[in-house]
Amino acid sequence: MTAAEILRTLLVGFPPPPEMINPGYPEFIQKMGGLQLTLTVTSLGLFFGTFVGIALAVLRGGKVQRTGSGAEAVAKAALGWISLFFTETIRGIPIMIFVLLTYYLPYPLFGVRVPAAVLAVAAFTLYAGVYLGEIFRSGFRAVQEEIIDSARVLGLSRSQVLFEIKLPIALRTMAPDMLGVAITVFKDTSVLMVVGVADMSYTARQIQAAEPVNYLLVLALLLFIYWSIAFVASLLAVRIETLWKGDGQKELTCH
Amino acid sequence: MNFGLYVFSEPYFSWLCRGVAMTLLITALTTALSLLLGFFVSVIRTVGYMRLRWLGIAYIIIFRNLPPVVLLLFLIFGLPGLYLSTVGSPFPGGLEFPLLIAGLSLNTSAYVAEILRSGMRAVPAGNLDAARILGLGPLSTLLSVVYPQALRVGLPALGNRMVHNMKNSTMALVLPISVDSMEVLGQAGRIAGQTFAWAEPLIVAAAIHLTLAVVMSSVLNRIARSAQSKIEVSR
Amino acid sequence: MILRVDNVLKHYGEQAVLAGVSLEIEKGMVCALSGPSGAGKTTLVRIISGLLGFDAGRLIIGESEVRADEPYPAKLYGKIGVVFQDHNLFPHMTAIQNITLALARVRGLSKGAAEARALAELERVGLSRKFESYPSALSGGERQRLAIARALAMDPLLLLLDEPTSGLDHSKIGEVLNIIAGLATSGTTMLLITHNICFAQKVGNRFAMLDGGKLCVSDTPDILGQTNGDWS
Repeated sequence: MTAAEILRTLLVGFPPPPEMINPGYPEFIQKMGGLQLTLTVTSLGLFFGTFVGIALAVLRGGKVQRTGSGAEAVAKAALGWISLFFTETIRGIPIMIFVLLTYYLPYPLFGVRVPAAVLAVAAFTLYAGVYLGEIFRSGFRAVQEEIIDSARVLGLSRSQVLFEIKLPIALRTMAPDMLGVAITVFKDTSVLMVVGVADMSYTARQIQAAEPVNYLLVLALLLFIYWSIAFVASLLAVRIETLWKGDGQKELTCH
Repeated sequence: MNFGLYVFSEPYFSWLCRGVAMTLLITALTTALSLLLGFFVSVIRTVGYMRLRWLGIAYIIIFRNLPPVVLLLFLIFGLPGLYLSTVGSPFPGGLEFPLLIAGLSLNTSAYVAEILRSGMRAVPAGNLDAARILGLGPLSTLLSVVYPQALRVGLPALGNRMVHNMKNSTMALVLPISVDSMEVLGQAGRIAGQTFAWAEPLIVAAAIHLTLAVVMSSVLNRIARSAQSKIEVSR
Repeated sequence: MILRVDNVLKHYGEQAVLAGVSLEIEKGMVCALSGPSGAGKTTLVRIISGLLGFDAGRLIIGESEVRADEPYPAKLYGKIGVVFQDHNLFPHMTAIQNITLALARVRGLSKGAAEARALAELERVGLSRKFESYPSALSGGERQRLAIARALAMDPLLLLLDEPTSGLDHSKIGEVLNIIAGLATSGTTMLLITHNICFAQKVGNRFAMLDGGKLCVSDTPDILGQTNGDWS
């Protein structure tokens, strides 16, 4: 294989032999591999993870502080504890073990066989969701009470305050950290190779197996691709932080 | 499904014990090494000459953005070839464990360097002026005035990073490590290789890691908090 | 009668921050309120504007009555203008957007009408050239002037100003005080909380002192000179 072919394979994936293609699933998904698959798993994980994060933050935070009945309060507290437990467990387990668990648990527990790629997305959804949940939780708290007060006296309704004031300000404060989670997820998808999901690192090993001569080149390219994407993204995060710092709240104290 | 208690019988139990011991060993070695490396890089990054400073920046940029798995793969599978083509003689074998330690340390040290660097920036400029007036040279100022404060400021973040470092020890799974040196996840895999059931050993490994992580972070948090309270008086 | 505070009581735990205070403000009047720090002036402002409840007594604002045991009437929000000590501008919006937001969403003005009104208010406080600036780019005095403009744009029945110049550089205090003096001359009904006795004497026509939970009201400024504690 030439260097160009190696690069292309790293980006797109090693084509699986025709007999391995399961007619039950769309073909293009099964042929996906390499950077393509890495980015797909990353984006899907982040996308669904956002919802998981919101759910966790809401359960923990109890934003709507209304005094309900006793039973309601107990239920809310219980949900909050469950959310806390869930978050701390997933954060405490190494990603490698977590991915392996999502791969090996479904069959003994539920008796179903789920395609590895789907399990991979599920794993990163939960993983990203937990970290995003932490960010959302502190991000919403950080919107200063006084600014919300001034919105209320101007006559804005609750939902107007949420969408016009709270959300935009919170998003600006949280954006750099959210990008940080995205970068972390991107880098951590490299552990998928142990469960046979054809992400970029797995593809590199596949190329190595097929083509032992060039393995230095393969690995060098692998390193470079991972590094450059992570590096550019981290520059972006710094840029966002400086750009929006002024429009967020950090620098906006009177005096 | 049986409840997997077989995991606690021999010989698996001793394998797991060995795994825990290795996890702790790997953590200890990589922690020490990454703190040392991180210290040097942060010094270079802040205090060195221009060109040296860029070296520090490059180090941090490279090793923070490389996933540990990919770095380890390169060290184990790519380095021998590199060695062969540059030095000429074949790369010595049996170095998997040291390379594992090296890879994990390089990765963590980049984060340590960054944490120490921002800790240094948090030291009030007035302190440096005072040191200079007292006649302290740059090295003494660095060691006695800057670093102690930088370290205290950075302790919470450093503690976090060390726990993360321990979790990274599981990356060893992608490497051909000898059975004696396998950390707890590797041993779990070894058990699964015999019993063809991954679920139970995995859960045990996860529980072990969770416990270790909780213990480690609460100890480190306590240390960080007591260190913080000490410096609050002086501000 | 724009505002009538009728024997309002507010406790924080054991302490009565407002021990039955009463006050009347007529249309076009400027009431200057002073008192030691922490005496409850801000609490009174928050109660009048509906940000805080109270334990006993009632408020009459315009034609609406606010009782202690009932929630603040929703329709009163947007009718009372508040200028806080810390401006509380929306940091993610430009100066003009800070003003047009409520005009469009609460009053239902069209974009063009809202912008025209906003520019007029900015002109009034002398910020028309900075309409596209973000609050982070404005000076302390400019931010406070913008906060005043934002409150005025809603044509409030009553404008509450809670120590609008505290925390400002001495050089910036003047520009804000000038605006307030101008508003007083043009007949804006205001309740001004301030430690600045000279200014209070200049613009005010009713004076009040809040100390130890009690409010003393008079039409002459001399009560402002009496203090029970120290003024910070």
